[in-house]
Amino acid sequence: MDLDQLKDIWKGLDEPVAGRQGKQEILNMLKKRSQGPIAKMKRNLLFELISVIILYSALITHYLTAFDHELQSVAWFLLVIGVLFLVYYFLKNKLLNEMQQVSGKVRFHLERQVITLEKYVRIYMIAGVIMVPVCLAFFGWIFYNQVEDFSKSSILFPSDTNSLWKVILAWLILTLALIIPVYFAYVWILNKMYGKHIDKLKQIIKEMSEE
Amino acid sequence: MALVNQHRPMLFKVCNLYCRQEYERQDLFQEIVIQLWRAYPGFRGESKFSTWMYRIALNTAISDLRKKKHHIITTEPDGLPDGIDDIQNYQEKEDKLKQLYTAIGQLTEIEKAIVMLYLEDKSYDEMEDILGINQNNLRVKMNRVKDKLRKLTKAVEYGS
Repeated sequence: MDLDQLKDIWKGLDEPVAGRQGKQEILNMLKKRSQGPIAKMKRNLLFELISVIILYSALITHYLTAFDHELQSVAWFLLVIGVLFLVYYFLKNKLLNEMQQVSGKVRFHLERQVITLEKYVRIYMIAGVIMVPVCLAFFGWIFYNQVEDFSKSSILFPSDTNSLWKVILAWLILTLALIIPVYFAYVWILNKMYGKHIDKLKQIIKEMSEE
Repeated sequence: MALVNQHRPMLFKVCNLYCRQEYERQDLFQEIVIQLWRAYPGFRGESKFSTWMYRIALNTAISDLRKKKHHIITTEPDGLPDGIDDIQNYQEKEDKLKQLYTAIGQLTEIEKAIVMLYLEDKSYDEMEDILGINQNNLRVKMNRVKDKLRKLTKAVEYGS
């Protein structure tokens, strides 16, 4: 079978299909939600945002009003985390919007897709790893203020027997001990989620550039 | 809407090239239609409508993040594209079409795109505008892909 024959067969596929299904079918498709991966990621992110807003609003209100106002600091802390989450949400959403732009030339689209996806993964990782010291600071603050016996006897808090540098060193060790496994866990998870796809896109771009 | 409907066969062809299973083809078709709809307000007529459409269809198909399920590759797709009922020598054409899809199925993602544009008789200018590969590079690739396709179709023909 030569290539001209293939062309004839290929062109033979054109006409009969066109008349068979109408505009109504396309309209029906447009009424459905996109099942594309980026659209799903956007929906998940929106769901995450709504959950955080509901949960944090309830918790902040609770800590502002309950416990005779003694735990108001927790409410402020949650508010800071909530604001940080909003920044995280807008950054991720912006990147997902960029990934949905598909009208460029194939090669440029793929190059942009790789850059954006790598940024997305980096934000994901940084946000996850940053939560370790943030949570440690939060729990440290709670323990220091609320559990006095513990804070006096612990190496993590300054006291008559604990000098400041010892306390700083203890916090550094604890933070590192938690950050390192969390970092590698994120690397593993993100590689599993996006690694193969990024490699595949890079391979395609390489193939397009090679002569 | 009318333009999408008019170019529907082209969209089917892209779906057939990049998906082996019927449900994957339907998903991809729907996704391409949604992307076209979403991107249409940004279409300024700087390129031909068909060029713009090819870009969106190929970009959606190639950069799909979904994990494709691994299937044992058979010598034919599990459902042939519609629309060959009216062609004479149905059986012969059908066999050749199967061979064509089986051969194309063994090409890389970019080779598939190049083959499609070649079979659609697109000029090198238009191919460059769609793929973003310069024409010299395209000519080299085109020769290589044609050779590969020739060999693959022969192998499939004799193998079947």
